[in-house]
Amino acid sequence: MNIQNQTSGSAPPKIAVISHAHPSISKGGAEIAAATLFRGLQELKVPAVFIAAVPWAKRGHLKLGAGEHAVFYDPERYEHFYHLASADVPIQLSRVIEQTGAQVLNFHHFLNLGLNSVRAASALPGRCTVMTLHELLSICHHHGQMLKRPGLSLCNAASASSCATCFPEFEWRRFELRYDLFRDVYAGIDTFVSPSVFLSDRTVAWGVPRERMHVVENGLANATPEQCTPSAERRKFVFGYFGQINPFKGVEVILRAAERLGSMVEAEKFEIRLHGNLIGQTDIFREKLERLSNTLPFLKFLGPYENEQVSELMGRCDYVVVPSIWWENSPVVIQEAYAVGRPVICTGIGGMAEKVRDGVSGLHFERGDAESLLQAMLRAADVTTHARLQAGLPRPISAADMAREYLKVFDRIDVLSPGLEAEAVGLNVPKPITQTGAPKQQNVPGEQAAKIRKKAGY
Amino acid sequence: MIASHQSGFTAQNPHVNAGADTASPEDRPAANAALLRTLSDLQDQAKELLGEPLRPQSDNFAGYIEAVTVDSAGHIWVAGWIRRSLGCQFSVVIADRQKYAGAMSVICYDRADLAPGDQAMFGIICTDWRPSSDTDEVFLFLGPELKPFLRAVRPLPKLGGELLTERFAEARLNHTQGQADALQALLLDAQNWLPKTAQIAGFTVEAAVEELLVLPGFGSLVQGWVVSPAKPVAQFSLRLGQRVLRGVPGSLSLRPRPDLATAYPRTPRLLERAGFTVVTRGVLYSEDITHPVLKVHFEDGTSVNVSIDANAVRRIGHAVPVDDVLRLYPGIAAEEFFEDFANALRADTIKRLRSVVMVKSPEQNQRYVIVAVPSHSSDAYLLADGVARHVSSEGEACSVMLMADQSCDRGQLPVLADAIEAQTGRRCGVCLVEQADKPLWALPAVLAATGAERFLFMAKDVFLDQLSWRAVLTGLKAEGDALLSLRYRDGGTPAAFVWTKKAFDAWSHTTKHPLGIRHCAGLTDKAISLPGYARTAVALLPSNRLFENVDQQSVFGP
Repeated sequence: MNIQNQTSGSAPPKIAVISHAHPSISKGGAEIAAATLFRGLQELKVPAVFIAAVPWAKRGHLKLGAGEHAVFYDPERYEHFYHLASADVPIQLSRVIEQTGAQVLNFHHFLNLGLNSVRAASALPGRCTVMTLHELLSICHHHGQMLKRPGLSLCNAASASSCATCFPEFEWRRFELRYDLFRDVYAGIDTFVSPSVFLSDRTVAWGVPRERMHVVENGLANATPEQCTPSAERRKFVFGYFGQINPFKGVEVILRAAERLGSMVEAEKFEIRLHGNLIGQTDIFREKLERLSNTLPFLKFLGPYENEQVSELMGRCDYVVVPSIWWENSPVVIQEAYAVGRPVICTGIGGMAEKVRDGVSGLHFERGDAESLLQAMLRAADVTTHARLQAGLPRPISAADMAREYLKVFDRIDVLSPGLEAEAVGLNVPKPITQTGAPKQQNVPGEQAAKIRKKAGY
Repeated sequence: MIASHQSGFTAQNPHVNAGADTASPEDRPAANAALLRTLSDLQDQAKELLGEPLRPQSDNFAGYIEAVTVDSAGHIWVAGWIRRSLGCQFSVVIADRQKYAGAMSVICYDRADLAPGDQAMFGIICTDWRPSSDTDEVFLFLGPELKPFLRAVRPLPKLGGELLTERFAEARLNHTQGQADALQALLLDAQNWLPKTAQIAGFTVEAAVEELLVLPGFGSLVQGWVVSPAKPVAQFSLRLGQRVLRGVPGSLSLRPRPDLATAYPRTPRLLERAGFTVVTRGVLYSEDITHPVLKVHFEDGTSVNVSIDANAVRRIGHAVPVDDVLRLYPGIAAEEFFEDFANALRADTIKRLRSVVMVKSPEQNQRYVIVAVPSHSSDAYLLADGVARHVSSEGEACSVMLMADQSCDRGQLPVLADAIEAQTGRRCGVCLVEQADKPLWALPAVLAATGAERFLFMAKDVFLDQLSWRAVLTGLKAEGDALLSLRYRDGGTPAAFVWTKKAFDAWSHTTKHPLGIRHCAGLTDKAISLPGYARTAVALLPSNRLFENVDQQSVFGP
C-alpha cells in the first residue's frame, strides 16, 4: 500500500488510529502515543481519524477534537481474562469504521475494545489491520508485566503451566484457551508494531512471526527542550521521579536508597523529588514515604502533577530516575526526560535498558537493589559525568517523525492495494481461509498475507 | 470444632428442681397419668355444662389468657394470669363462636406486674377446641358455676416451643400452687416434641446436632454430640415438620470428642463416646424439612428433646455434595438399608435433574444449538463469543439455547444471550437446570420447549476450534437419525453431539442413565465420530463415589 507517494487521482487510504482510551479521559502511555500518532498524521496531511474507547460513565468528561470518534463500553461487562468486550462494542466500532471510511486500522492496545472488536474490524472487507502493542498483556495475564506472582520475580517466558502456577485459581487449560484465542485473533492482523525491540522480541518469542513485527518508537507531541538551568551549577544534584507511584514502579527502591543516603555525608549535595500519585500502595509504604519525607531533608514528596507541567518539573532536575521492578516497554517518561535534556538512571532491564544506554544517555542499576541505585546516584552526582551523559542523549522523535515511521510500516502491507484494486473492478475475490479455518473476509488475493500466516504456523 | 455451651443447651439450671413438690424422674409417668385422669374427669363434667347459658359479666372477669400453643401430643398449653382465690384445676367451657368442653390445670406464681389479688398462671387445657388464625373473641368460663371467666387477648399470641419450656421453667421455679411435677411429666412425654425440654428434665444432659443430612423418601443422617453424665443414651429419633424419623437400630455409632474437653473437663469417659452418628428413617417429603428437633432416648425409657440449629440441616445433593454422606457414614453402601437409600437418592436426584426453568423463552426452530454454560464467568464469555461467531454464519438455519445451572452467575446470563443475539440476529433462549454437567435428564424438556427436531448439544466447559465448529454445524445441517459425536482431545467421552429429538427421546425413554455419568458420557456407543476434537477449560472430574455405589445398586445390579 502506497500512502506516502500516492499517484495523482487516487486518494490515499484513510487511517484510523484506534485507541483503547481517550487522552481527555486518561493519560496512560498507550493513549498518549496513539494521540501523538494521530496528531503527526494530521501534520503530514494524511487522512486520518482517531477512534477511542470510552467508558459509558465518562461520556460527560469526553472532549473530542476534529476527526475524533468514540466507541463506548461498559467496564463492568468487559471480560479481563480472555479480553472480550460486550457485544455492542465490536458493532459500534465496525459502524464507526464504515462511516469514516477508514481502510488502515491501527489498533493501539486491545484493552477495553476487546479482542472481539479487533477480530470484527479485521474481518471488515477492504481493510488492513495493524496492532501496536504497548505492553505484554497478550502474553501475561498479570497486568501484562511478566512478573511472577506472588513474589514479583521477573518472568522470561509464558506457558500454560507456568502461568497456572502464577494463578493457581485457574487451571492451565484456561491459559491454553487464552493463548489460542489471541493466536486466532492475531492471525487476522496484517502487521504489528512495537515501540521497543524488547517488546517486539518478547512477542515474537511468544508466537507472532518476526516478518509481521516492526519497531517504531513513540513520538513526543511536545518535544521542544525546556530552557532550564542545570541545578548542578547550584551545588546540588537533583534526582526526580515522575509517574504513578504503584508497587511495580519501584519507588520503594528510591526510598531505601534515600534511607541509606541519609546516613552519609554526601547527602547534602543531593535532592530527591518524587512526583506522582499513590495508587495501590500499602499502608506500610505510605507511612514509610511520609516518615522519610518528613525526616530526610533532601527527600521531597511533591504529589500528583499535570502532564503539561512535566517538562518544567523535569527541567528542575538533573536526572530522572526510573526504578521500575517490571520490564517496562517504552516508558514515555524516558523520552520526556530526553526532551528536556535530562539523563535517566533506570533499572537495567527490558524496555528501560533498551531506551537508556548505560554510560551514554544514563546509568543502569540492579533491579530492586537500593545500594546499586545509590551507587549510580553517587556516580551521577558529578559535573563531568552529568555533562557527558547529557551529550549522549538521543533526540526524541516528534509526532510527525512517528507518523512517518508508521506510514513506512503501512506501506509495507502489500495486501491492501491489490484488494482495493480488485474491489474497484468488481472482482469476486475468493476469501482465503487461514489454517485455523477462519475466513478472512478481506480483499485479496492476499497471497502475501496467506504466506505470512502459513509461515507463522497459524 | 469445639461446641460451646451455647451451641447445645443445659439442664443444669439449679432452680429447675427447686419446686416444693419435686418428684423424681421415675415418678413422672405416674404423676402424668394421674393428672390426665383428673383432667379427663373434669372434661366430662364440663360436657354436662355445655347447655348452660354463658354471660361474661364484668364483675366475674377473672383474668386473661395471654398466649397459647398446641404441642405435638395434642395438649393445649396456656399462659396468662388469674384471680388468686380461684384455684388451679377447673372444668371449663370455652366459647369461640361455639362451645367446647374442657379441663384446665395450671400452676400459679407471683408476677411483679400483677395486682396483689392476681397471679400468673401456666398450665394445660384438655379440649377439642383449637386456636386458629381467625380466632376472634375467646372466653373460658370456669366451672362448676361458669360465672368466673378468663378472656383471651386479641390477637392471641402463639407460644413457641422454646418459649413454652422457658415459661414453664419460670413458673415452676416460682409456683405457689398447682401440680408442677405432673405438668412437667406431660411436657417430657415421649410423644411430645417440644424443643429444649432438657431445660426442665431435672438432670444434666447437653447435646448439639452439628450436621443433619436429609434425604426425602428415606430419612436422615445425624451427626452431633451428647454429654449425659446421669443416664446412658440408648437411641435417637428426629422430628422434621410433622414427621417423626426413628433411629435405625444398629446404625448408631459413637466416637470420642476430645475437642469437648475444655467444656467438660471432668468427664473423660463420657467424652470417649460423646460424638454420635445415627441414621433415622421414616416417611419424609421435601416440604417436611422444617423445625427439626432431636429426641435423645435414655436407657431408662425417658427422653429429652434438643432443638436443632436450622443451619445444621442440609439436603443431600442440594446443599451438600452426595459424597458428604460418605464422610458421615463411610460404610453406608454395605448396610442393609442402602438399597432403600440408593432408591431414594436416585429418585430425589433425578427429580431435581429433570427440572427446567425457562429464564428466557426460546424461539421455535427445527434446528437448535444447546450449550451448557461454564461456571467460570470468563469461560462463559468465551463460550458466548464462540457460539455467536460460528452460529451467526449459519444464518437462520438454527437457534441457540443456553443451559445454565446455579453455579453460573445468574446476572451474567442476559449478557451472554445479548452477545449471541447481537451477532446471530436471533432470539437466544436461556434455561436454568439443576446441574448443567448432568444434562441428559433435562434435555428432553429443553428440547420440547424449542421445537427442535435436530440439535447440537455442547457439554459444560467445552470449547471447539474452527474445524470442530465446522464439523458439528455441518452435522446439524445433515439429515438422518444417526448420532454424531465429537470427543475431547484426550479421547474418552463425547463432549458434544448432534442427534434428532426423536431418536434422543426414544433412547432416553428406554435407557436408565446411571447417576454417576457427567456431561455427555453414557451416550450410546453407536455414535459416528465427527472430525476434530473438543477442549475443556477445566479438568474432567471423576464422578461422585456415592453415585457409583448407587448406580451399582440401582442400575447395574449387584
